Amino acid sequence: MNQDENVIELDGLSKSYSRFKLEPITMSIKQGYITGLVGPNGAGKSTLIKLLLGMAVPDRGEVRIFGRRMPEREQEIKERIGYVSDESHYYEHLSIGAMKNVLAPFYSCWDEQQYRQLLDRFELHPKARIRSLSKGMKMKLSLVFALSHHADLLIMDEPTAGLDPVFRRELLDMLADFIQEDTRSIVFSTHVTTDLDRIADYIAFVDKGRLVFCDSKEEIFERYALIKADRSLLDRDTRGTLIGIRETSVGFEGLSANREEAERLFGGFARIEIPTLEDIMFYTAKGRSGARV
Amino acid sequence: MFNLIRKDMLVVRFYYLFIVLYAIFFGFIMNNEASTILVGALSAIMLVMFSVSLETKSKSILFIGSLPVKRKQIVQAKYAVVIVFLIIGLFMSLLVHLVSLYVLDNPVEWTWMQASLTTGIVLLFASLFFPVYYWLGDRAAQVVSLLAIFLAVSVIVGMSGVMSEMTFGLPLDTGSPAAVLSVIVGGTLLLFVISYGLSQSLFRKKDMAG
Repeated sequence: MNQDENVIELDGLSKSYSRFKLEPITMSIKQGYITGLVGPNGAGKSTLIKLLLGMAVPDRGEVRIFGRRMPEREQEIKERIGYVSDESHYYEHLSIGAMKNVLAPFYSCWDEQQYRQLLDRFELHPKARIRSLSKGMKMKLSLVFALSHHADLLIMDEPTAGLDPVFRRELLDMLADFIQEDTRSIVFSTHVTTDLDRIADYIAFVDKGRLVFCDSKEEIFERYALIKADRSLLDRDTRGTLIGIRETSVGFEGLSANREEAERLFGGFARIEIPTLEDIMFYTAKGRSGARV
Repeated sequence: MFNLIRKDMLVVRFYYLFIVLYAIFFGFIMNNEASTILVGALSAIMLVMFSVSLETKSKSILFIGSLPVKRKQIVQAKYAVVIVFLIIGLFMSLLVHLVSLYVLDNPVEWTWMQASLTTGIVLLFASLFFPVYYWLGDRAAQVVSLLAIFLAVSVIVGMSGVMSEMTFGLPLDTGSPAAVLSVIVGGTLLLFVISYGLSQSLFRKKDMAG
């Protein structure tokens, strides 16, 4: 596989629960990059990750990782994946060392030296019981395990949730180090978009079980525009061009997915800015009914 | 699959102490005709239950789901570990017998019939427990497991009266006891195999929930 290849390919992947439906998703994730999976809480990010890893069974569709089909090649695919979940699912009554003894034999490339170095780096003691660790320490432990078997793909589900700002920054730096090798890739789900502003190359945005886009950060910022103008500019036609609107007593702020069109319609009468990922997430989730302040 | 079996054996490592306590209580303190079966069957059943409840408590199925194993192997390992725990149970009951025979002056009986009944009870328990666990989840399995244990204990206690009237310690090749032994082990083994197939088919379509 070279840099231009896809590490993950999804084709029409869908899943229905009684109260939630993940609409058919077709997308690919590039090898050698950090892809952020964003969306509000309950948008379907964790469901998508569980489908990727074969923890949930799709209703329809196909998953290919490293060019191999899941679940047929599940075992060899997962040898090369490091998974960090939003919560610790290790056996809480065991010590770190005992948990390592359970985990390590599953991986043919387990690197004991790397494991010990990472434990030292995160100041984790092998004799500490997992249940005695704080949320942040458990997240560090997940990272230690995920990074100790030379994974080519890190899949992380909300890894920064509940972490203090210092470790958050350290984690993002570690991910940037990890991705230095072209063969490695990271999929990182979060609803905290500032983390992705900092490190992500590609963004996949999921909202209400639907994939809104999956593009490079540059393409997204070139395409979307945040318009700030007087309310008098809002009529039925202009409203129709905006994905989401937030109106105040004096003006409005709206998101357009077509910068050229926005410039043609509002240019000269409005301030047109580059939105943040949070702006895109907020306005897409809220829609045209938007917030009125 | 070997690593999954190893995992379950390591995870319950603190709970082996309970097995020793069962052996002391049911083997030496409550010494009667059912002691051998109680020590063997309860040890194996409790080890199975401990391993499953620890998995449920920590929602470790999500950790297991991320490991480089196939779905099929997860179920295979659960059934294989029942056999391992059964062997531990049978070993404990034999140990109780040997200690009571050579150390204490109050021998606890150990016969092939009792061993086959122990095997039958454990296989029956697992055959009921795992399909419910994979079908309805941990809560239902807890209820079923409690009922199953109650049932198992009732059967053992009920059988103790019958057993005292039966001829124990007969060699395997003697007519009727050997036939009974074959029916018990063969029948429950068949049920165990059917249960395995059912669990595989249930787990194949099931989401691993936290």
